Amino acid sequence: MFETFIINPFITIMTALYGLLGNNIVLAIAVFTVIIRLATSPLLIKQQQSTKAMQELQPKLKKLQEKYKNDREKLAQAQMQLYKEHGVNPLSGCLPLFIQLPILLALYQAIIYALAATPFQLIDLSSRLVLPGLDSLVPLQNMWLGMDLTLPPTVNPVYALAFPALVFVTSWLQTKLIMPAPTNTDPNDQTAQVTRTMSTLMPVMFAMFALSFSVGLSIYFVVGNIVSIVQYSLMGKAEWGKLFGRSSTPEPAPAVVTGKVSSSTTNTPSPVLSKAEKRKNKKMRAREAKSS
Amino acid sequence: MKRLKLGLLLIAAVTLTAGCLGRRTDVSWADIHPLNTEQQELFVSYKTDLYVINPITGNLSDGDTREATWQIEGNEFGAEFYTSPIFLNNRGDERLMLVADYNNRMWLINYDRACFSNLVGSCLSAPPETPPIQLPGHTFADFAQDDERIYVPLSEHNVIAIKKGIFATGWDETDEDEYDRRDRETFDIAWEFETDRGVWAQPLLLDGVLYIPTMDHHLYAVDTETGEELWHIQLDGALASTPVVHNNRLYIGTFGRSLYEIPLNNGQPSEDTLVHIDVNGWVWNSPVIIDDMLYLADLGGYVHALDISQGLATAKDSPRSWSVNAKGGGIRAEPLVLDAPTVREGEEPDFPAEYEDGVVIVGTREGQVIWLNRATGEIIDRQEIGEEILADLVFIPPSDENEALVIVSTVKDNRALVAFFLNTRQQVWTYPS
Repeated sequence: MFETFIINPFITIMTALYGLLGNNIVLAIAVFTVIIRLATSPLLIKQQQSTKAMQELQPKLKKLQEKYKNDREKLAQAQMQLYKEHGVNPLSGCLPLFIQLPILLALYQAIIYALAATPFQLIDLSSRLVLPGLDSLVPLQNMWLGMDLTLPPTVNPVYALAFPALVFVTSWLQTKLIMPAPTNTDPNDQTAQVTRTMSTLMPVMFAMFALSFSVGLSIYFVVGNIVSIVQYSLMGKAEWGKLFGRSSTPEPAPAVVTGKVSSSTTNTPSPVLSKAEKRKNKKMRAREAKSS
Repeated sequence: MKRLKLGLLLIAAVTLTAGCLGRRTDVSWADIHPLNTEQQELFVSYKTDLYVINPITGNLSDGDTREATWQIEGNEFGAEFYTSPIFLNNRGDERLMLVADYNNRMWLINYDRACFSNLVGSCLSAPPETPPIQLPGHTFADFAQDDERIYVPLSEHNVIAIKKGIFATGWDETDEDEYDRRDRETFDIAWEFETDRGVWAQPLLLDGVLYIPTMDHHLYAVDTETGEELWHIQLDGALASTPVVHNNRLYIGTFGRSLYEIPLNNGQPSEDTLVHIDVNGWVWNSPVIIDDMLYLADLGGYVHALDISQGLATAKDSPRSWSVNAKGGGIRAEPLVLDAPTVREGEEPDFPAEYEDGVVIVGTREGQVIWLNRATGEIIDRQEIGEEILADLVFIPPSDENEALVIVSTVKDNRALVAFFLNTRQQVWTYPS
């Protein structure tokens, strides 16, 4: 099912792009990555919105945790009530990730199958091209700048090791620019810890992937990261200031203590809030006052 | 912490799934190569092992003249074997053969003692640290050879001609100079023929010309003495099978779902007279030609029989031609085409009535062995093995000691070889049993 409806069409599209782009597999991977990223951008936006909404609720969640620390059942009920009041689904941030996961896997498979370095991979490819006329493009040229794109950088010329490095740098940039700053500067705050850990861990993990998997996949990672950065920049969500030491990490939040949401707890690219965000915060405060 | 765990779980899932899917790099399909029809031995190169099987019993062979049961486990060098070995002519009583693995190495094997060998014929229990020949690329297809050279197709770029040197035939043992000269040049590269995308099929050697099918869609003709190109012709897809010559015409299938007929005029092809017909999938096996009939299977799962007595252009119009979907998945392996056995006058035929017209047998990617009527293409029977069949089938003719057998190999370790009786189509043995 997964192969028939996702992997095989991916392989076919990539092969078709290869033909259209002058038998250039690197261009084909890059263009295909851009297409995939654009197609999944609504998911990214949703994920971003969901993450932000969840972060805005963190102070209140913490307050509830303190209030019901001895009654897990009531805590759960209160949390659900809070989510309901603010129209937030705690799982909606994960859903896009789960949808992207098979896409990532399919793309990885598509690169492996389409480039078909071994006899087995090539024979598998024979039944995967769903459009007629693409057979004559096979086998796709898998050498680029002296590198075999089907092999990991470790078994390619030394300069292929630049790819894991590029993957690390672009992943780090992406994480740094895009991952929302924690709403809380409490060093013991778990969310903040997770955010910090993930922002360090993810680029390392992706670099490790790039080191162990084919160079073709590294191209996907690098292009994907760049596309994400561009996408977020265009949406005004990339926090370039972070790169130059102008942290947007908010001031210690009185809201955590007082239970009120201060403007500084929102995940804004800069300490200066937009009008829309001010309006939103105002509404939240009004709702909170009403509920209390 | 939950999110951290979730993140790590996702990463682990990606790693595992990506690692498990689509990377069939650790397998090879067994190459079965009949070595010696008198001794009834099959040489099998599969994954990391090399062994010789007695096709009657399905056991490792100990032969009449050898001192060893024949298996060389090659785990320590992590090779994957796809190719058949070739025998070399050497000075001693023991026969040496040369086999290539997929990791760019060629090994000398002492056939009689089932051990690795070095150039002077010593029997080594483990592969030598340095292989006798280090190839500049992967070897996937069988070699071609003549008296002087071995022609090795490499899957990345080219074909290399390796001098046999002391293993060549025809040298005078008493002529020390001749011996020294050959000794020095043993396994040197005589010439190298570059192609764009590598060679995945055994080149055809005919009258001093090497016909090289390539993945860059070209068929090249090369002078075996010099390695110089005589001519080339571009076809509509990659070429992964050896061409076959019949009536001064070359026949070859392509990944472009075509079968080509290339008439040769004084050894030269003529693009004007090039004929091709469409088939139903990639062609990754050589045609089999018997009695002006060409038999071919494709990865679309079809088996074709074409009457080429008047050439390929009119083949489909002939009443003798047929094309059948065998419905067992794609077919990589070359079809096994057998004549109806001859019946002596006054004797009862000892074969089934359905074989009267001859039989075509194919092994499929879905793990079926399918018997078809050679004259009509009608499916006689199918046996399910359940494991992918990619290597060519082997026919073991009947003798006083055994019935006719068909040997099939799969890609799975636990059923690397499966033997069937030709007549009853019942399974006889599997290896390993």
